[in-house]
Amino acid sequence: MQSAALAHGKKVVQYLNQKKREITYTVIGTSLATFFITSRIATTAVVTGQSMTPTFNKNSSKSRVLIELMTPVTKVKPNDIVLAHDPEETDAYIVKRVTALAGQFVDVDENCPGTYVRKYAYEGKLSVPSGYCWVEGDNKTNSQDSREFGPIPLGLIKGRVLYTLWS
Amino acid sequence: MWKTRVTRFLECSKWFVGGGVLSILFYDNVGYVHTVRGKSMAPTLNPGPTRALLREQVWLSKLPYKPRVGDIVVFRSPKHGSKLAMKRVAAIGGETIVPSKVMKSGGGPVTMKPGYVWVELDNRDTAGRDSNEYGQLHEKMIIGKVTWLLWPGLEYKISGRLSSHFRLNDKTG
Repeated sequence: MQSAALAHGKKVVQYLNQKKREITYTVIGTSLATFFITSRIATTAVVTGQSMTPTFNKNSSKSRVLIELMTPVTKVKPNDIVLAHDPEETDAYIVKRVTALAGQFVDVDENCPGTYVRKYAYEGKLSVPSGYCWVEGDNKTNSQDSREFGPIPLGLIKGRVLYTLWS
Repeated sequence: MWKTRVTRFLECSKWFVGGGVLSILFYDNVGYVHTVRGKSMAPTLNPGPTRALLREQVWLSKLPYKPRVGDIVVFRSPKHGSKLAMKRVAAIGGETIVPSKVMKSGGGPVTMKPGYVWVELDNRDTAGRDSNEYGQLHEKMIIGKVTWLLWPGLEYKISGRLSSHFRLNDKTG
């Protein structure tokens, strides 16, 4: 009689241990899958600042956007909005629109305040060197972009912004 | 009948999918075997004859780290966004260097912006591109560091061994 109770108790413990194992595997598996997806396939990010209004942050100071990480940099086209490493601050990122690719010319406004533009524009035009692209924020009056720091190498681009999830 | 087949297929395929994901995660975050192409890092690293077995293979570590002078790094080429290049770090952010082309043709020392490095090739007899051509390289273009020479022979820490052609000057010309 006592041994029957003991046997039952052992089975309960075994069952609980198995459930614990299953939960651990599920947690580990889900974490790895999430890490894989957010590093290679798509991820979200919060866009702050006003340099991309009215596209982002028209009525707020932060929006969360969906970013895809799978396009190779050679397929980036003008008018794509990209997430890239900030050329001026190593651990920061920038969200800007690509306006010109390598080999194309950028028309610059004579009254443009950008440091790079003032230094290198010739007769109102700038050419983008091979391997680089020109990025600008949609809010031309309030954006630190290629007009300030020059074209950015394609290798700094991490992915393209698809759409806003919520503001 | 097909239901059990489908279930069994899913049961088996989870191992393949799991293994694939783990391999890719390893490739992205730990490292992989990389083939040396180009003569720019000779004699330390050589491309060798074109027959596959004799090409030099190195271990490219992708563990997070900060670039240091003397490291051989692999980075996305500033000239061709999709191609990789392998060169040695000559100076890191904050340091001043007299680039090797300056030593030949004049000019001044260059101070690295924070977050940028200067890379140079070891082999002066090659027409390779390095920072002498495309300027300072943004740290985030670097995808990994070469730590081992795997084939032929096995050598650890080839990064850090400065070749005899390589000179670092920090302020005086």
